[in-house]
Amino acid sequence: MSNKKQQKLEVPEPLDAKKISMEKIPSEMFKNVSEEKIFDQNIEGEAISFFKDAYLRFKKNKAAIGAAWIILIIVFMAIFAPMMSPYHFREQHTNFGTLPPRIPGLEKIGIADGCTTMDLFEADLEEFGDAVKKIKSEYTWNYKGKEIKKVIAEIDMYEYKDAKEHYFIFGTDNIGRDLFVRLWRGTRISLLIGFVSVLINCIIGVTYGSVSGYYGGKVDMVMQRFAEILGGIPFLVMSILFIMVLGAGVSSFILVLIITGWIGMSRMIRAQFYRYKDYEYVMASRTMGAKDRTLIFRHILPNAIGPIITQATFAVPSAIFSESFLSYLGLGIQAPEPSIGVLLAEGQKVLTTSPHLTLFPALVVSALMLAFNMFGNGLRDAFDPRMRGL
Amino acid sequence: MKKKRLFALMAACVMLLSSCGQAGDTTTGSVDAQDPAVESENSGENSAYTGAKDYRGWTTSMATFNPQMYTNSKSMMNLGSLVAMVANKDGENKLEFVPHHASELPTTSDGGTTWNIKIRDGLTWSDGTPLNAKTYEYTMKMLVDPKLVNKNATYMFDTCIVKNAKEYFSGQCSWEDVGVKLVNDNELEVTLQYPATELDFYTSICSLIWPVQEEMYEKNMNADRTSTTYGTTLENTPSAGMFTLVEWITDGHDKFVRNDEDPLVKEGYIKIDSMTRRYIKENATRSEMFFKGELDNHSLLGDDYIQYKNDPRANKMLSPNVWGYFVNGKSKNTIMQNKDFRNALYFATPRENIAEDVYKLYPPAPYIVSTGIYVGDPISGGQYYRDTPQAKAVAEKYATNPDKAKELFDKAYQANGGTPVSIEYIYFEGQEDQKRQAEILQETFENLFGKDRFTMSLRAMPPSSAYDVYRSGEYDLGLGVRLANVFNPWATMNVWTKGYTDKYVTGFESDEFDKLQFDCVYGELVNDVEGKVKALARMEELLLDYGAFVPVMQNDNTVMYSDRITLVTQEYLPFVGYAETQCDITAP
Amino acid sequence: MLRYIVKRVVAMAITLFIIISLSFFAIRLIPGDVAGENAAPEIKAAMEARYHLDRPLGEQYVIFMKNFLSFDFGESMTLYPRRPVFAIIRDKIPLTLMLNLFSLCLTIPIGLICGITAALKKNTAIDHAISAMVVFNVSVPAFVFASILQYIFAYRLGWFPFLLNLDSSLSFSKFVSMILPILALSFGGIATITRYMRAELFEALNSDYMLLSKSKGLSKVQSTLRHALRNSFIPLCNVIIPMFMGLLGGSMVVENIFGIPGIGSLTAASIQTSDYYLTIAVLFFYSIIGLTSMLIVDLSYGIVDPRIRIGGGKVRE
Repeated sequence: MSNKKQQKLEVPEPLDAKKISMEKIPSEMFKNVSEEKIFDQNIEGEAISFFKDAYLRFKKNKAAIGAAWIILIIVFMAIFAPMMSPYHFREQHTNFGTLPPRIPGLEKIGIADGCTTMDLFEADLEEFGDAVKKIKSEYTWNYKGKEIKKVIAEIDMYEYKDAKEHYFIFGTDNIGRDLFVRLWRGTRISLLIGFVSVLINCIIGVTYGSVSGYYGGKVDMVMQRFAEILGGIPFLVMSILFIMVLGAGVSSFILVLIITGWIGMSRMIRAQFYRYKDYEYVMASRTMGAKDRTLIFRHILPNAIGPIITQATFAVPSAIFSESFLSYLGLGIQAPEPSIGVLLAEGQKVLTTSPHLTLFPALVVSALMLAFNMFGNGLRDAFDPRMRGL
Repeated sequence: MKKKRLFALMAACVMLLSSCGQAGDTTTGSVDAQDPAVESENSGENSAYTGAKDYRGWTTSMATFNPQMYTNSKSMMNLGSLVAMVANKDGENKLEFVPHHASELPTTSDGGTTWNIKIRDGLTWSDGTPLNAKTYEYTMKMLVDPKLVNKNATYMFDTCIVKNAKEYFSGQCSWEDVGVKLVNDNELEVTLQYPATELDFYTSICSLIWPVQEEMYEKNMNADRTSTTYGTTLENTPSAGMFTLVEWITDGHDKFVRNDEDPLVKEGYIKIDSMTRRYIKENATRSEMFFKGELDNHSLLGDDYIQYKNDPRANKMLSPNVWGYFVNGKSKNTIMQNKDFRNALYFATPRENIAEDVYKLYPPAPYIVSTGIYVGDPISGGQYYRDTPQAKAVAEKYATNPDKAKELFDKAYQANGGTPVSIEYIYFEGQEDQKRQAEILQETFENLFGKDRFTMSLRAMPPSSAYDVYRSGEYDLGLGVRLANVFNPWATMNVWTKGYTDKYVTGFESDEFDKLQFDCVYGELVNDVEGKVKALARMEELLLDYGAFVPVMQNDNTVMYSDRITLVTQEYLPFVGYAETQCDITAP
Repeated sequence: MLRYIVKRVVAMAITLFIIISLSFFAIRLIPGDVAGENAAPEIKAAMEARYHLDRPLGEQYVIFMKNFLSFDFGESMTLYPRRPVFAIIRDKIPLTLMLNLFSLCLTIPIGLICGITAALKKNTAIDHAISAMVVFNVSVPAFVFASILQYIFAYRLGWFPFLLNLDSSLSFSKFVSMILPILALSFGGIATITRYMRAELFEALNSDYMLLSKSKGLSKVQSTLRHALRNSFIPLCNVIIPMFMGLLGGSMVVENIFGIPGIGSLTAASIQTSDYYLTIAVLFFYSIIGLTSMLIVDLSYGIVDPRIRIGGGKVRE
């Protein structure tokens, strides 16, 4: 209820425009009916605005706050980590291919110490020299009557590849590029694709949905048919086609995500308009001569801000997911630029031999998904008018 | 409280994922470790194994069994040809030509122009209909049918040109004019336009043309005779070879069983009972299945290679093809028109890095003709081309040389007016290794020539699109390969000749090259092995000198055969490789 | 009702026509080569003539549309040379649809149960465990998950076969081999349904009519079953159908990894090999499924929710 009252409070403003509607009556003819003084008490304390209220409720949601922090940290890393690292995301050390992670400090206790376990022929052990850290077990393998000695050995890959002075904390890919830098660089690209496409989708969706919902009738029908046709296009097939035609750049990914991405948003906005446009306060404002633009943007749309933000929040991770799916199909962002999807697709091919190439990108994606979902949930609860004052 | 929960969730995710990760580290050990126990029960020379001998192979796709449409010759296991090239069954590590559907090796009476082919008596298709000289005549007629437009029509006018076959194909003459004559039900006479050697005739016309069954072929033909669905389902794919196709699900699997009526099977060339192939796209899956003992062969890829290169199961193959970059000397990009620049690209290409660091198992190739190319007669004795002194001299002259590349680039840079240059490199999308290769190339070139003076952009395309771009000439530098004929590299050099209408645009044109190519394939050098080797070296030199192609590496795979397989040959033989189909299975 | 359906079907036909026309021109913008790599010049020229590629684009379009409207979808050019496109799709659809339907059979009940449990036990340990599963499911891409499944259950443990058993009859071993692909397919869907169900049911449980039903004296079980659940099912229709489309897309990945000869792998491959007719046919197939399912969703609103009458504006309350 309080929500509605507040919106009604905004209504008086167009009263100044009385000349337009009541132009024929000269103002002298009007006279105050009541000269009574109003003795209401002044309202003490600040009025809490919609956003302030949402913020207050959001603040109480610890999970959402945590999620916001995670997003902030990831965004921070995506922007600054590539700058802080001693390596460049394109810098190759071709002789340091697929090194496992090695982290100073942690390596002492045997985690991330740059070692891999390999199943080798005893005869090949020499080739590894000092790099053999530990022989875990030995066995003989019978091949067509011949007994061949094999060992399962722990090999220090950094020693073997002569990279002892380096610490690649997330390891390297198979041409010796630092995964740490590439991952954050990739996160940057993925987030960029996610944010920009969602932003554009919001703009298109809100405008389209508002116009369609506000005017209704013929306009609405034509616009809805158009949206339906677009919505009928299978996303995957169309996106593959588009990427093939446009080439795999950041802009073509954004474009592909936009083609049909705005439809969901516009539907939601249209529904909001249908719900609110017949409300009394809108009618009141209209009677007092408010223009369409004022009605759309000042009176009806603000009701939808909560759902818009929430839906946009959920859309960012799904954009990142779509991008990684296309990468799996070999339509990822153009090399040498990485993206999370590209890194995951590369990692999946060698999942069993170099799991670190999948693990770290997957962790970042998981963190992003988790954070965006929780953040979105938090926002939804915060903007939900029914939860006001709870 | 909620914050704690959140981190607990995160931690759970991390642990789940990392436990998968750690499991990955110890991948290959444990399975092999269990093997000895299984092995010891059947160890020793128990070739007396009499159980089911089913070879479990894999392939990535099998689009059609219509032999006139398919491109991979070795996949037509359900069909025989006139002459079969096989590994000697006595384990002598030698190749031999044996007549298959022919009753004896075809002979020529006039030095290689007219060939007489006798077909065996009593051959039948799997459905019982007879297979004779008529079948082959019909096959050849359909192969070059102008309305059907079969992909493999070139088998009739490629290395050996059957008289008027090309003209018939393009609708300029009638079938009567084509050099294929049916003498009687068991005899066929083929007339060529230019004389050919036995080797060329046997390896082209006699082994590439597989018969089609007329009745079925006609039955599946459409009304206007432009298309037949022959060989697109199991029902309309008859067999007439050492194996019979008994199961086939497109993109699923296929199964062949040995055909005991086949002449070569009767002679004991085939020891396995059947062969089942699954179509598996993911290499990781194939690898896991092989080490789990569910596949009998597996091609090693990069990371596996370190662990298994010395494994007794690993067998090195030799590829006749050299991969590299097509260089467009006619590009609108002026720097590409500069010969010094093109040569600089050649000398700067880090083929050793690409071969050792990206592919790990492929050898670098500073030459255009692969080490798999065999010159001379493989039966009576010839040699690999790259072992000849002429070939060695070429390889030496064109070894990778960054200093020289830098020098040449400086020259070209000045000649180009001293403005920064940039070129575009095209590679095939969806293939990780090729992306890596592109990235290495970009880094190396830009660092060597200087980032302020030279930049290279990358562009991924599907192979078919890329080749189309090379044809149109709208490119600077592009990855690709031209397939080579193992025994007749001169024939496949025709793609570089002036008259070849479907060239990839490189701007390379040389009368000397064209003459050498013609002489070696159809002209005076046909029977002169020594002369042909010299000519090949010269042709290679001409191409490298112009800088039409930057060779990078040979895709020599290493194939693992499971330990229950006994191969018929211990050495790699040209064309047949390790003759998988002739192997024996000695354990369950 | 009937008039409404007819209207929708006509709209669908127009949509399909536009999609097909668009894709016809789009695919020709990609440089492509119908003759295949290293094809001889004679072959290439003949192939182009065969598929009318040597004619002007407009003429090609007219020929194509004429054939298409008479249900002649053409033949595959490069991927399965000479095989009629219709036959290819017909052969490949059953397996893909079967797996996807099985996967739905797994996804919907599990998703519903998880969602309902989580909503009823909100903010308990069970709820958090389910939420953790949902987060894990939505945050790991299907291709990574499928590979991990195969690695653990087929390679390390050996409980399931690597690849799908392709026997034509439905045997026990075939069923066993279907478990991993179905799991991989269901992975994301379960999370989606759980999430929606939990949110919707939770909202329904807190609404005024639940208070009313409580005050009427209904037990918690009764009111939940009769009122809350029924109402929370409505928006689910909206989720399940798009999810089915998503599954079809996801089967591209799963089919690759588990060696399933279904339709999923056709999509990318046909575009990449410039197999024009096949590409358009695949697109057509996906569009039909998509549009039909949208129609079903709209119709099902009327069945699930009597408040919505078909024929009027969908959104107006």
